[in-house]
Amino acid sequence: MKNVNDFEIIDSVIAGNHSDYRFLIDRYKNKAFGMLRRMLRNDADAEEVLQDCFLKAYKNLSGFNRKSKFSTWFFRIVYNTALNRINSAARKQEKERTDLESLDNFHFGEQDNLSELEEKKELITKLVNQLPPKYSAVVTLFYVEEQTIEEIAGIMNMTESNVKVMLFRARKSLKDYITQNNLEGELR
Amino acid sequence: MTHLSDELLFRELTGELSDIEKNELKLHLEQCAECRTLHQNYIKTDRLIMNIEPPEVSEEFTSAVMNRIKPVIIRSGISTGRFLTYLSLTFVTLFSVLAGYLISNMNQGSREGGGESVFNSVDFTGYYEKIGAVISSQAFQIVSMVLFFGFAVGLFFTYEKFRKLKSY
Repeated sequence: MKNVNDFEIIDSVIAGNHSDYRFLIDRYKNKAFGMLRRMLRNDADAEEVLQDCFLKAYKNLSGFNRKSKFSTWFFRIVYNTALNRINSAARKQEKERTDLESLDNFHFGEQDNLSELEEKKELITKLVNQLPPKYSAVVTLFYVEEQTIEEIAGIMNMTESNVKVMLFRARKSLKDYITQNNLEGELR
Repeated sequence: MTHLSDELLFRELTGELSDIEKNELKLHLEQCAECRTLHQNYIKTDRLIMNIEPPEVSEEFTSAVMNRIKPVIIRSGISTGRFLTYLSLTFVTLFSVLAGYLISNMNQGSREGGGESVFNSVDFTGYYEKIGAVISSQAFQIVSMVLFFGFAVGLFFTYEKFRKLKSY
């Protein structure tokens, strides 16, 4: 199924081969899980929300108009579901905290035993995870999922300029932290 | 010398620099060690973030989702409603074809036998007589036959969906 594109899988599912939906799940589960884990900061919640997202996507599959990539459409579901979960947990506080907030007062937490980390890559993952949820989502979508600014704007229901502002701030913060802590040499 | 701004280096990342700006950037980086370091730090940061590996969900995740989807498939009536509709329509049209055939034969038999039409032999009111005439007409029988085959085909495909659902 590696050579089959998303639209072909969708056609097959709509035609009645429901079990083919598992190929879409396998294709996107880890990528979406990464984004959800960063936004929700809890593995169990992330996995539960991800199940809901795949269920929602399945129910609406026949309504997917194919004007965008399936991944863009699916990540929009993931992002909105995560945001709903965050908002229902701490609606007011989180909204204030994440609504295009400035990163001026944001500081990465202390990293324990940096030198003892088995995988140095874990550190950058931890740093991205510490960003506010929306920033973390932008960074993940841009760098890891390789979505364009336009696609991210569509997923997050924002203007492209807001996405750029968030990405710029997050990138600068990460670069500053890495440089200030002389991690760029270690993290190769 | 004016140093490169973070904004300019960001626009490089998003591919928004014009050819002239790209050349200026390149020339400046060749001459300015400070900006070269800044540029390198951004590039290293970008590379590090790009290399983040997505975490893996639990092994049973896919099965768990598919198990949650199964009741949705059954409830959604992808097949059930349509199957029952086709089934009932097939039977109705089949009944119409048979009724038309029987009534037509009975009328023909009574005419050939020199007797009166079956509708005349029974005390039908005019209303029922008209219905009987319509049902026994050739046009009605042809339409019924076409509908019958249409619904039978629908029934077959819906059954196929059921079969796939069962094997799922």
